[in-house]
Amino acid sequence: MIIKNLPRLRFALFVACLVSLLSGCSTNPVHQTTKKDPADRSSLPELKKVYMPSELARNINVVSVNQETVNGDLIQIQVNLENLTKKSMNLNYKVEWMDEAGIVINDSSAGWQPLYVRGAENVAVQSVASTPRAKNFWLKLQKAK
Amino acid sequence: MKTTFLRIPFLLALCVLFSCSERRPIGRKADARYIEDSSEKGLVNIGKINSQDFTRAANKLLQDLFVKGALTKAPDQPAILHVGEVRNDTQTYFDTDLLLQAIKRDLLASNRVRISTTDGFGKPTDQYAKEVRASVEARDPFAVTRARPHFSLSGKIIEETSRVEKVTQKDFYFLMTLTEVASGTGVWFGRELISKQGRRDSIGF
Repeated sequence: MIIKNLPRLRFALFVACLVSLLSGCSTNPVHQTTKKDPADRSSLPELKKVYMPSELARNINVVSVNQETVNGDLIQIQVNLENLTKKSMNLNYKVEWMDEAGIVINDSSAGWQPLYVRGAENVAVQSVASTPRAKNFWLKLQKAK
Repeated sequence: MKTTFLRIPFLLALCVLFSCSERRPIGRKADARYIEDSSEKGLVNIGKINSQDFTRAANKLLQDLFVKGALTKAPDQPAILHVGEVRNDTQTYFDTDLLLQAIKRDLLASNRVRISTTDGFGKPTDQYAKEVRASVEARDPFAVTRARPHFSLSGKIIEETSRVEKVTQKDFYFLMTLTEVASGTGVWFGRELISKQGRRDSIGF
């Protein structure tokens, strides 16, 4: 009986191994966006996007970033995101501000924050630098658990 | 035949060991680890304000304050700010400095205010500095009247609970007010809401 079912057993074992390996290898890379030129003070700066091929990179598009100065000398940004799918998504994001030398400024905006995006929705994420030293930023996006 | 069945558990064990999942120490209780400040892997309690909530509230309130530009209206820059009381009206005890310290740090970095740690009717942040200042002023008949705070920051945190069947929603309102001391009028009213919903507490968000 067992000998008869041996090929099936082997196939089941192969599938079990494959599932185990695939589930163990599921990754959640961070999608990152920054200004191409840190000195760019225009209202629509050119962007540099850094990401690995992943589900998030296929489903979310960073359309543009608006930039202006508030409180006299602080940079405010608005990152415009677009959900390219019909499904709603739970994301986490954070904005890390950097000074002229590219050193990350340790302020309260450096914590991960939740973001809910409905299917095919455009959303805007805003952040204000806490210091006039901030010249550039990294917007980091990640799928929530 | 016998060897085939011996191989099966061996192969399964290999799959588990060499898959890319996180390694956990052996033993049910040995799972303590360090996490980053305001990590997305931090605990999420429905009934209380977690560390990432304080950071988020402080950040959002400050961003609103900067965007409204209330601090730029002071005649002298940077203006002196007195940080007053933030009342905790929630069901759990916590020190409101968990919120205020992040706010003070970022406010100071903005170069728009200097924060007084000796002035105020409540208990000053730095009693020693306050006493030193008082003795210096008492001995010097020509002491120039020192600059008084132009702004005062105060607020409160309120908790609201809603429940439908087994699902609970907790709303934590962080309400802050910036008052111009000379006129006694509010120049900025900040409100940040952090809502949590669920049946049980969880790890991460």
